[in-house]
Amino acid sequence: MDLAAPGSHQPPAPVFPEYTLPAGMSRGEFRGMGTTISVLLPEDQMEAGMQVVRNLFYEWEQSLSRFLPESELTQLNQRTGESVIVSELLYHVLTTALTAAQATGGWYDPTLHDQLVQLGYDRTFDDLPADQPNSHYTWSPGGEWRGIKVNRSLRLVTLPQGVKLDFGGIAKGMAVDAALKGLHQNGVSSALVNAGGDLAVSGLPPNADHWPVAVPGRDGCWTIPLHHGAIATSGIARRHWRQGNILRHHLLDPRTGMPAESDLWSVTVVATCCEQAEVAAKVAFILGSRQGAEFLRKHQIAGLLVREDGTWETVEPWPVQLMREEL
Amino acid sequence: MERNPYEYDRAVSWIPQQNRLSEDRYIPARPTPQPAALQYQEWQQRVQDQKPRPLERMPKARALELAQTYKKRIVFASLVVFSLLSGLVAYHQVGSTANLGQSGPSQSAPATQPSNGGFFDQQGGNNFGSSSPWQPPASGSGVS
Repeated sequence: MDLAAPGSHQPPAPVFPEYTLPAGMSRGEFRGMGTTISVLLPEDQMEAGMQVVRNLFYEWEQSLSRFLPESELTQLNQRTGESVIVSELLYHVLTTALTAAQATGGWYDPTLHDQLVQLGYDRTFDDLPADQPNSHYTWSPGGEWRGIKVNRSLRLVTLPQGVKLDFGGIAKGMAVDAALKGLHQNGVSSALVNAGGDLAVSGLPPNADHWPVAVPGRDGCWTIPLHHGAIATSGIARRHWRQGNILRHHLLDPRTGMPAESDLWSVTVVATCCEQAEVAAKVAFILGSRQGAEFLRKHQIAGLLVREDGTWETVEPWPVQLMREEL
Repeated sequence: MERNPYEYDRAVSWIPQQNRLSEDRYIPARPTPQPAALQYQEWQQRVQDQKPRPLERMPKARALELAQTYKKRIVFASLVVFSLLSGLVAYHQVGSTANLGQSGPSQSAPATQPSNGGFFDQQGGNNFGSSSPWQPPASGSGVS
């Protein structure tokens, strides 16, 4: 997809206002799964809670990163066409991804690994140079997830010959959900976990009836009151790069295997859990404003769809009347 | 289980079965012979008792009952054997698949796909607070 003519500007990343700390809470941050993990926890549970979250993200990254040569996912991707026994974690994430692919009719596709690599996204985004050399790209649609075989009792996975997995954001969203569950099991009842924009909350901050959370627009942002659940945003403002003279981004259309030609700038959705929010936001973005809104409506998922030109629309029950514009 | 009375009460005298029940009617036991006069008759009777007798016909009802019992047992045994063999074959195939995993694709692993129901099920009602935020954001959903 040629997003922009040579020499035209790249989309700027949205700027959020400085975050504040709710009373009685502390913030911790670390790098994990190719992004910044930010955690809000009660002050007296900060140390123990951060350890739980850090350990979890470390374990998930070691197993599921396609950029780590020793990760279990990389090993599985190197054995396509074979039956391989995998860990419970990888099996859980894979079957969730397959469920998501089926639930979206294939608009979410975890088997677009090679397309992303051919488009230049062949290393972590932090290490990806803004300009990649031009290369010949073979047009190759997705849908290969339909050929994946799994055996639940033996945790046996067979990828079709030549088909590799890239879970994309769903693994990050699932890690956020798992982190909150782990915190809850360790007695932390109030927490917010944010993995590069995929965030979820449990409980509420002390003496508050919501978590104030910023969501991006085209040229600014709003703050909305999140009471429970998760929120995720998909868009091209951050993960984009240039391949030769062509601007690329990571949200691929499974019908073509090429970056989606969407009229949208970003889609933010609020759902029960982060894995749902992540997948819904991505699919709605790829579908474009009209079909994307229909998709969210069909699943009764609240959404904010921001178009390239800065105009926006919402899908109920998005709290339009409670949005506070940040200057 | 039926108890054999002779194993527990050896004082009970032996009575030939054919003299007790035959063809569903009761045949009274032979009268006790007189010791002196009936020696020869008794001896003859004993000899006769020891001679092989022709097989008696089994009652039809009993035969049918036995046939039904054997039939049930055969069916049950067949099922057990079939299940065992099937299990062994399946286990062998899956084991082979796992072992051959390094060399090529296998058709023996069951191809299953998760159901598509419920992935986007929303629980807990409205996710939003009831009032507009009065303070700056505590976090943000940046574009990922």
